[in-house]
Amino acid sequence: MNKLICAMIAIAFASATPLSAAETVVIVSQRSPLTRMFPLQAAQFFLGQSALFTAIDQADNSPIRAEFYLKAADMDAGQVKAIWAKLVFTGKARPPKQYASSAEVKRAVAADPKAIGYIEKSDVDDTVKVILTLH
Amino acid sequence: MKLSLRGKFLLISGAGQVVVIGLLLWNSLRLMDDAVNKNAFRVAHEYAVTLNLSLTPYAGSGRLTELTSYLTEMLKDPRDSFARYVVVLDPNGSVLLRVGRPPKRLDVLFTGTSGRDMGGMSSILDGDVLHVSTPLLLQNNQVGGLYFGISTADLAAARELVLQQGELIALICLVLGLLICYAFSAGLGRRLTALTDQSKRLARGDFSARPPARGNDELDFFSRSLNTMSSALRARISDLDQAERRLGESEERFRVLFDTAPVSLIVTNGEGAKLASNLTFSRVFGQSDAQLRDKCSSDVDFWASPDERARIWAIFARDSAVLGETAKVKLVTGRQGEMAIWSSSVTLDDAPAVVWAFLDLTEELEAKRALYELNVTLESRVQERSAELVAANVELSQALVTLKRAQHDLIAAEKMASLGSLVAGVAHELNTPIGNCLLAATTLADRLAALEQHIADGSLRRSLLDAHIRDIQVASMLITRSLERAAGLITAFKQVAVDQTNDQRRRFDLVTVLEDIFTTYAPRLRRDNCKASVVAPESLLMDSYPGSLYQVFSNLINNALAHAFAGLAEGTIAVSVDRNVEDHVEISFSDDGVGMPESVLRRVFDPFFTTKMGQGGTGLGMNIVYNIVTGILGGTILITAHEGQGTTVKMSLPVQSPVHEGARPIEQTQ
Repeated sequence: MNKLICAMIAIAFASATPLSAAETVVIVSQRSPLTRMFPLQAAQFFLGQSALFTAIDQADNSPIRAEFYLKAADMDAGQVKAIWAKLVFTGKARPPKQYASSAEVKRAVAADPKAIGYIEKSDVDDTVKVILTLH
Repeated sequence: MKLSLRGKFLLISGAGQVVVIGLLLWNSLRLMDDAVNKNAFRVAHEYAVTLNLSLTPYAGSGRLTELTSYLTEMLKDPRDSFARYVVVLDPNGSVLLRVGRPPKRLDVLFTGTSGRDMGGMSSILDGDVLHVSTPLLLQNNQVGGLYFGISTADLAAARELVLQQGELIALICLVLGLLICYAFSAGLGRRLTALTDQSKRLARGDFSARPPARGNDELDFFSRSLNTMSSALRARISDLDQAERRLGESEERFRVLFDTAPVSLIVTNGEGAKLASNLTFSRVFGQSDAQLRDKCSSDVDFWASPDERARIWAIFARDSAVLGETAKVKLVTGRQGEMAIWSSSVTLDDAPAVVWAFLDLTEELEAKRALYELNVTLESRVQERSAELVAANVELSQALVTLKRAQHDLIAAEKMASLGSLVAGVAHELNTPIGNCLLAATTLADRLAALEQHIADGSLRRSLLDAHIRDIQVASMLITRSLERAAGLITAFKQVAVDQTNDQRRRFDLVTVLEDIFTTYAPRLRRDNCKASVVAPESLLMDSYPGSLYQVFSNLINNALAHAFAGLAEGTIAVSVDRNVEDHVEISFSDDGVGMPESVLRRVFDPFFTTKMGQGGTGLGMNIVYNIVTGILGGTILITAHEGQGTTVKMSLPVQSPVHEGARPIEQTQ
């Protein structure tokens, strides 16, 4: 009964938002002490501005990647590529490792307490911890 | 290897130049290389950026191969681009893009860390190609490697050109520097040669040439020093020449002196062997200089006896000199003579020598003996003469005694004569009062006879008697007064006469005596119209010889009357007595007569000096005065007189006159 109610509420919420804009969450390992983070804070790990956590990226052409950078840093994929091309050329940072699917990302984040990644909210399980939800 | 100063100079300057130029060249090459490398690196960096920008969009989307043809075309001709090759490798080392002719093993080439790094870029210069490697972002965030090479051939060519031109300039500099040094050292060498010549001339004694010294560098300074030294040397040498000449002259003088000295001179060595002798020596001893050479005096016939030589040498050994010792020697005549010997030690040619001087005293000693004999005879002659003189002296003293007696007699006669004139004066003076007495007495007798007649006639009347009595009184009074006057005169005269004739010492009052004298002389003074004044204290007691004092004053008064007032109508005699010193009386006797000239004043006390010769003057008056004052009265007398201004006689007499033998004070008669 409760599950039903919850599902209904979730459906209601989901229906209230555009379908194309599925919710993306930033995750860390369950062993990570982190509990919360702001979008710009999360973005800095993916843009080579901080090496405090190891960023785990999605594949280049995946829609979630474009969505994540748009929501977190208001940037498109080309801009992110350009930033990383310069950082790599100047030798200041190594680009984050990319995985082909959210499952692989989730697995990589769960395995590393210092890792940080993003997946669709629907893919979250108890191996990881959500610290930020991007709308 | 021997090198001239100039050669050394050239060598050292050449070496210095080579070192400097080498350093310059090396440094410029170093800087050049540095600049070239920097520039190449910058070019490489620019290429890397450009290539990265061009390749990244294609690499990100895995379309790199699309560019192969473009790049191949661009790199085909080396003149179109500096780039020689472009290669992109994926992380696994497999080729994604390959254009141009890259070296075989690119990853191996960059394994070593030699080369320059900047960010992710590495570069290695290999020959004329600069190899560069940078990371490149590939698909799915994979990091591949971009490799490319650019040509640095033109940089190397520029470096080569700089090196060539630098070497050329260095060579020119070296040659030019050596040429300048050569020219400079040539000038220096010439001047040094001139200086060397000058020194050589100096050494030869040629002081005329003087090297020019106009400039102000070290060589000119040295030239000037050389000139100064040259003139100093010249002055020194001329001084030495002069000194040498003077020495020669002095030696010549000494030699002449030695030869012509009137004293016999001989120089021997320390043992007495003769070294030299002078002409006088040869003449006196008849031995020439050559005959005696190196002989001792014992070797020749010199000493009168060998003992003499021994004695003189003993003195010399003891005192190291002989000073005027006499010795007997044999003379040239064969006679024995006496010589005074002096010696003086000198050093001749570093050997001790003795100069001996012999003074011939033979004649002097003989003359001395003759003189002594003469002296002996002379003494007896002198004794004879003195005996004669003594006899003459006795005669003379007898004559003197006679003369003195005569003088004494004359003085006595003069005394008597003055006494006589005094008597005549007194007699004349007495004549008046006695005549008055006689007149009064006869008048009185007449009056008495008339009175008797009247008494006898009985005609005596009272008035008549009174008249008689008055006449008698007048007459007796006249008689009394005249007789008193006569008695006074006689008393004074007696006193004067007694004191003059009996010169005896007694105590008396000087003032009274003076008054007596002037009373006695009053008639004469009055007759010659002469006034006399005596200024004296109330009384002045003396213990002296009043007779002598009378005599002094009578002489002074007589002189005043006879000489001072001779030919004058009137005169004044002023006498003042003063006792200004305790035991002395000052008496001043002055007249206002004619005085006397200096010639007379000088001889006024001389006996028998008179200006009235043949007119009654004896010339003894003032002599007597002088003798009495200085002798009997023990005082002093001084006459001051000027012609026409009177005469002043000043006497200073002791109150207590000195006691004389045979003159005893007598009892005072009054």
